[in-house]
Amino acid sequence: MSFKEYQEQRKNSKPQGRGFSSDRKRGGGSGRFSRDKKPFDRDRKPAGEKRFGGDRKFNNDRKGKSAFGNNRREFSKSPVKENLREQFTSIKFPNTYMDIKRRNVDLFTENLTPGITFFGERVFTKNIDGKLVEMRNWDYRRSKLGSAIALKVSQLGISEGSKVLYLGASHGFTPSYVSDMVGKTGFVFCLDFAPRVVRDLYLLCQKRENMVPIIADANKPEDYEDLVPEVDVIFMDIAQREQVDIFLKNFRFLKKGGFALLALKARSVDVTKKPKHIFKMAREKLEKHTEIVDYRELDPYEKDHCFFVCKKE
Amino acid sequence: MLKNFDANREEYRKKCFQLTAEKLRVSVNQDNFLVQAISEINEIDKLVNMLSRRLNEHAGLYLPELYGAINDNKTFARLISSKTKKELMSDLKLEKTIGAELEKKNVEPIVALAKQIVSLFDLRDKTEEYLESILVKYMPNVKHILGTMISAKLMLIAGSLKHLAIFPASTIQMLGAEVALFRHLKTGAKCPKYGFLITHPLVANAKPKDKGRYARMLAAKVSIAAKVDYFKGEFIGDKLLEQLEKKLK
Repeated sequence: MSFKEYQEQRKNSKPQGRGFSSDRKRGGGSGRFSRDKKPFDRDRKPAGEKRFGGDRKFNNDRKGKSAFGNNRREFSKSPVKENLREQFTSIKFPNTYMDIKRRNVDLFTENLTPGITFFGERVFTKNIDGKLVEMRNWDYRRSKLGSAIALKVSQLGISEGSKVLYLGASHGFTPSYVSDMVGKTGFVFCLDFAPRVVRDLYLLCQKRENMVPIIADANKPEDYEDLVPEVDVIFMDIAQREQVDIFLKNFRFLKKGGFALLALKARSVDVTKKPKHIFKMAREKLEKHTEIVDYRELDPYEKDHCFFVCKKE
Repeated sequence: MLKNFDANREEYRKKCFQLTAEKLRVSVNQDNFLVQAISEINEIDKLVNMLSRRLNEHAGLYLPELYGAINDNKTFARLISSKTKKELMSDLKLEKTIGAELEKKNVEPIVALAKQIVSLFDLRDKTEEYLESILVKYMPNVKHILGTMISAKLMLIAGSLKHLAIFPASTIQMLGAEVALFRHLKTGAKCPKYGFLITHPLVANAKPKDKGRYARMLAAKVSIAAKVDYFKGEFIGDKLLEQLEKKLK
């Protein structure tokens, strides 16, 4: 085919539907062609539906690619968001920072062990008052304490240098952030019952100077009585049927005026009852013994959970 | 309550780590080996099924007739890894195939995959032997009634023999049917009749009407056997099974 023939063919054929190169950068889905469509076009297939014939599970070609192409992120940059990115501020809890974005927030704590992370979290250095500080991202969807902070809980009683008894420490995800909060002068006593998770916790505690692992049953405070001193804060996150009773048993370690935090999982108390009902029952029980300072339902982040902040009188 | 904590922090830390390490070391027992072995078998099964499907697709390029003749993944992989195309054709009594003629370099990856699958099957057999050797010593009564795989699966959910011994018979009957059971409790849907016990030959070969009853009786015997095993009693597995078979006839 000669060049002239080619040109004629191009003229006769319909336009290819590509648009200008500047449009292409924006990515297909959010570009100008989608704008012509009605906002709720019923003929359009939903994202999850099968579009490619054959054995989809064994067709790896499109794995990991979104239907919008790869340029989506570039398009979402806007001057408004750039301004909001500057809102990286410290909040009322010690060593804790919040990054406010358009729709959600990000939590950060000052890393106590710079250069070492344990759960593959995002880390970067930030200049704060002329000091270089390593920030550790706190994924609050994985942590009940974190989601309480993201839901703007009024007070936790945790300050720099306070001693915290952490019941139900598990692999040590949340305890590591608590240890960031209390700093080098504070201390976190991490308690768990299952040997498998304490194995991970042990290795984590070795690298953090203000943490210690203890294997014990939280239901039997007599067993670890000689291992734990008087503490400022108790945090409990164990999925047990008698959570509230165990919580009240451990008040003996709390000093006067200290705070006790309870993350209650309704489903492990009773699956058949409604969560709201269980929260109400727990509240009535707690009010007999302590003063409830704050209460949150952690619903968008943790399903069927609630969070109590209590104060010992 | 611990006193003078602030004065000797370092000492306290050392002591705590020592205590915890000791408890961790002691905590490893037969239950852990059992749970690891059965989980390993489950995962190998998944892996082998996936890879066998891929091997079928890949080997179908040069000999599609083989898969129709052999419907067993294990022998299929063994044949492809050990024999050439000509030998296989003479075994199947074929003169011509609809498969393509492939060069040697394109056949090699197929054979390599088949060899891997065969070795995975061997690993599975070895693990099952290991599992059986533990079960015979650790819980002989339950193993005699249920067989290796079902009793191991029950252990996987119960977590330890202690828990299995504490469970009432009705709980053992439901092990493996957690989703259906909690759906029943939450929404009032039909209650499940059996979990893993459905794979036991006594229950599986029963009439559909009788399956629930048989599973209940079997669970009762398993509950007794687990209690005997946990408290290190005598071997009564054969008696229990005999009683059960008599009743069911």
